[in-house]
Amino acid sequence: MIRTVLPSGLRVIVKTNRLSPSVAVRLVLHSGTIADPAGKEGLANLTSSLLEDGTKKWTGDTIAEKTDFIGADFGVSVDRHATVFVASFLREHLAFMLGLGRELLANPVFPAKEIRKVQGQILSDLREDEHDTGAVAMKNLRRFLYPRTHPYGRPGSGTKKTIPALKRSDLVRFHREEYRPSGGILMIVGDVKETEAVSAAKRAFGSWRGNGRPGPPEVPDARGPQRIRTKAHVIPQKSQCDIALGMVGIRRLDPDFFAAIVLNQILGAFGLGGRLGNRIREQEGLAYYVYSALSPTVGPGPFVIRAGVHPSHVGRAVALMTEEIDRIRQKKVTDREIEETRRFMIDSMPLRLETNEGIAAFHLNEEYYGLGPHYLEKYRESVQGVTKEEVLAVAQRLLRPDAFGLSVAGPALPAPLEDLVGPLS
Amino acid sequence: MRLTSHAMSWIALILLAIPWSAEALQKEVVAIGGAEITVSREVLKNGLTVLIMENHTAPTIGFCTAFKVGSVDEWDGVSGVSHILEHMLFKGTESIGTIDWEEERFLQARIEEVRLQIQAEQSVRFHRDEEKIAKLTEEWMQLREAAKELANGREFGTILTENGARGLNAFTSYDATAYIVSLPANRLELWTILESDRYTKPVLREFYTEVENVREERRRSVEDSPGALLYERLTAAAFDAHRYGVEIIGWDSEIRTINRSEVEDYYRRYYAPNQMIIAISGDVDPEKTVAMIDAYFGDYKRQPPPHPVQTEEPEQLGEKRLEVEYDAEPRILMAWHKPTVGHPDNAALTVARNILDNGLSSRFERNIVNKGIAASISASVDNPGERYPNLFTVSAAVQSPHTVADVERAILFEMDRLKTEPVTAAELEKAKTQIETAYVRSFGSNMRSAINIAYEEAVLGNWKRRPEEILACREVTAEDVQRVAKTYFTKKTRTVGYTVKPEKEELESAMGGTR
Repeated sequence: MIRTVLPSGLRVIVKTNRLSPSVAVRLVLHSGTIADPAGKEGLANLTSSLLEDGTKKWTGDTIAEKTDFIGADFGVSVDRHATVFVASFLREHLAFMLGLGRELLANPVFPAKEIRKVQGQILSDLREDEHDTGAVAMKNLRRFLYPRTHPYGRPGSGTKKTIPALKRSDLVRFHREEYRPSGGILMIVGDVKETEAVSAAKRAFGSWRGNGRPGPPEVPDARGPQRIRTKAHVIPQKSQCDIALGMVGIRRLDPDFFAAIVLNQILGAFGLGGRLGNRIREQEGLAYYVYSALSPTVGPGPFVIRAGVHPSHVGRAVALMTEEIDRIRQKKVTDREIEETRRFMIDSMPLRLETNEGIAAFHLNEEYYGLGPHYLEKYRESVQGVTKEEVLAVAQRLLRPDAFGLSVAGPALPAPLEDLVGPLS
Repeated sequence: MRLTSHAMSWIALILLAIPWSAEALQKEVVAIGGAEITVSREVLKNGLTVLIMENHTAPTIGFCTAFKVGSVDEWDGVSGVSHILEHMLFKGTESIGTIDWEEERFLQARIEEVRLQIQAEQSVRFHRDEEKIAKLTEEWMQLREAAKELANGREFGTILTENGARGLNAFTSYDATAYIVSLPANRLELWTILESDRYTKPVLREFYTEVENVREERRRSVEDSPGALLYERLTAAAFDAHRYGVEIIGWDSEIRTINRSEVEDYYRRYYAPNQMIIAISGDVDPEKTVAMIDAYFGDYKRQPPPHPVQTEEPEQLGEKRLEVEYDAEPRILMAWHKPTVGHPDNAALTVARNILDNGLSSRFERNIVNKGIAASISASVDNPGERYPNLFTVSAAVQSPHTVADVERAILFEMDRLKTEPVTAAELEKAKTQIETAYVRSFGSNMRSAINIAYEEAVLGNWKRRPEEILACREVTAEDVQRVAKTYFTKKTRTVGYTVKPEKEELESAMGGTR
C-alpha cells in the first residue's frame, strides 16, 4: 500500500488487489449535509446530484455516453459528513475515470434545466418515502433522538419546502465554498500497479487547489430521550408495521467503541440478529427481520432496534425488545456469547478485505478517523481484549429500558402505541 | 451453551483422513472481455457436480450450493414450498441444533399427526366440531412448546458465524435454489462437514414458527411494495398456464396451510446429488477440494430425476390490461412474451434491452427520464426466469404531473422506434461492451463468482451457456434488433399493468373515515 499527500493537501492511498481485472475508486471530501445553511436543507444533496449533469469540459450527455461506452459505474453520494465520488471499472480505464472524478468535483456547471429536473426527482423520492414504512419510522425516531438544532436532527435530503426553493446561485456558492481538495482522501484499490496509480492520481488531481476542512466536521453531543417517547404513524393499505426503537449511540472515536460493537453484536446482530433475532424471530415467529444497529460515526449516531411485524404483534415485539434491553444491562453476557462474537469479528476480517470495495472501505475508515497505520493488528487486539464487564458497563451507559424513542409506521394498530408499550412506561 | 459444544465435539470426531487423489480435473476456459474464466469440473459418481475457480489473491473462499429446482417446479396447493424449504435448511440436522434427537423426533412426528387431524377437521364444511379443533390446537401448541425446549434452531448458523462466516444466506428463484456463504480459506473442511449434513439429514424443526416469518416476508416484500405487488399480479395475468405465473413466495393461503410433511415430500423428490451443483471460488487446491467433497458427499444417494415441467404457455391471443389499486405514486409495468436463452433471437433482444435501458445514455434515460416523464425506468429480458420462455419487461415510476398513460405512450414510442429505424452503430457497440463488462465485473468477489457459476449451471445446464450467450451478442446486427423488435414487441402478446390510486371514498373508509 502507498500513501502520499499531494501539494494541494489531497491524501492519496493506493492498494493492489488482483482478484479481478477491475478497480474501485473512492474520493471523499468533507462537505456533507451538515454544511447546509439553515433553511436550505437539501443543498448538499442537490449539489452532489447535479455533478454528473455537466462540467466545463463535458455535457451530461457526453459524460453518460463516455462512461456507458466503457461499461463503468460511477456516482456521487452525500451523507451527513462527506461527499463521496465512487467508481468501479475495468483496469484499463483508470486514467480516464480519475480525470472524470476531477472534472465532476472541480468543474461542474449546474445547467439550470438540469437543476429543475433533479429537483423533481428528489421531490419524487421524498413523496415515495412518505409511503415507505421503514423511512417514515426512522424519520420520526430521529426527532426523538436529536433536537432540530442538532446537525443529525436536520433533514439531510431536504424537504418538500426547501428543495424547490434552492437556486442555481446556492449551488454555485456551496460548491465554491465546500468542494476543496485539501484534507480530502482518494482511495484506489484493484488490479493496478501502486506507483502507476499514484502517478495517474497526480496527473488527474495535481493542479486542483483549494483549502477546505482538514478533516470531518465537528458534531456536538446529544442527550437523547430522557423518558419513553412514542409515535405511531398510519400509512393506509400497508399490511406490516416497521418498528424503530432507539437512543443515541456513540462516536467512532469513543473509548468504549469496541465494547459497544460487541454489545450490539450480542444484542441484535450476531448470526440472524443476536438475542433479539433468537427471541422475536426464531422463538416466536413474529418478524421477517429484526436486528439492532449501532452507527458510530463522526458524532454520536443512533443506536436502533428495527423490526418488521404484523400490527397485532407490535406490542409483543416491543415488550421483547425492552426485556432484552433490560436483561443485557442487568446481567453480564455469557462466556460463550462473548467468545463467539470475538471469533466472528476477528476471523471474518479476511472476508472484509477480499474485494476492492471492502479493502477501500477498510483503509478509508482507517485514514478518515486517523486509526492507522497498523489498525488491522490493533483491531484484533482490541476485539480480543473486550471483557464481559466492559460490555455490561457500556450497556448500562447506552441502554435504558425507561428512556428511548419508539416509532412505528404502517397500518393502524389495535390499540394506542403508548398502551402497547405496557407497564414499563 | 451445551448444544454447540456438543456439535463441535461431534465435528471433531468425524474429521476424516482423506486420501488426496492426484488426478487432474477437467478444466473449462472461457475468454471474455479481456479476462479468462477458468473452472475445474468434476462430477461425482452420485451425479453431484463440483465446479471450482481457483483464486489465491486473498485467504478466503466463496461457496454456493445450487439445486436445479425452483418455484416453477411446484404444483397447485403448495405454492411457495421451494422458498419455505430454503428457510428450513437453516434449522439444523439430526445432530446440529438438538439436545436429544430421539426425543425430538418423537415430538416432531406427533406435532405433524395432530396438525393433520386439525386440518382434516377444519376441512369439514358444515357442522365442524369447533370444540375438537380447539382441543387439538391446544395439544398442538403444547407439543410445539415441548419440541422448542429440545431445539436450538440457530446452532447451524452460529457454528458458521463464529468461524468467521459472512454472507450466510440463500435465495430461491423461479428456476433454482441456492445456498451461499463466505469463509476464511482454512475452514473448507468445516464447511464440507456442515453442508453435507445439512442436505442429507436435515430436520425441519420449528417449522410452523418459521412459516409465520415467511408470511411476514410476503407482507413486506410483496404486499407492502407497490412495484412487487404489480409484478405479482401482472405475471399472474401474463401466463395462462405456465407456473411462471405464480410468484416465488407463493399465495398466502397456501403458505399458511402447508404442512411440514408436504415440504419433506418435496425435499425428498427434488433434493438429491444429481440435482445439485457445488461451486467453490477462492484460495483452494481443486484436486484436494474435490477429494474432500467426495469423502463427505459420496454416500448421498442419487434419486430418479423429478418430473420435468411439461406445461407450455399457449400463444397469447390479445392484449391483456390490469389495474392494481394502491395508495402510492403510480407505476406501470409492461410485458411481452419472448423466447429464452438458447433461442437465436435472445441475444438480439438482450442487445435491444441494453440500448433501451442501460446507463445514463440509454434511450429510456434520455428520452423518458430526462424529459421528466418517468422518475425511474428499467427493462429486463430475464423475468420471471430463464429455464422456459419468458418476458421482456419494462417498469417505470411516473414523474408527476405526468400520468401512467403518458409513460406508456413514451415507452411504446421507443419500442416502436426500434421497429421502424435501425439502431446506430455506436449504440450497438456500447450495448455489447456493457454486456461483456458487466459479466466480467460480476466476478469481483469469490462469493459472486461461486454464485455465477453454480446458479447458471443449475438454470442453463452449463455455466458456459451464459458467456456463450454474451459472446453471441457480439454478432448481433442493427437488422437483427429491428427484426426481433417487430417479431416480439406486438400489441397482441403484451400485458400492461398500472398501479392507480384508490377512488377517494374508498381511501377515506380505509382510513376509518365516516362512510
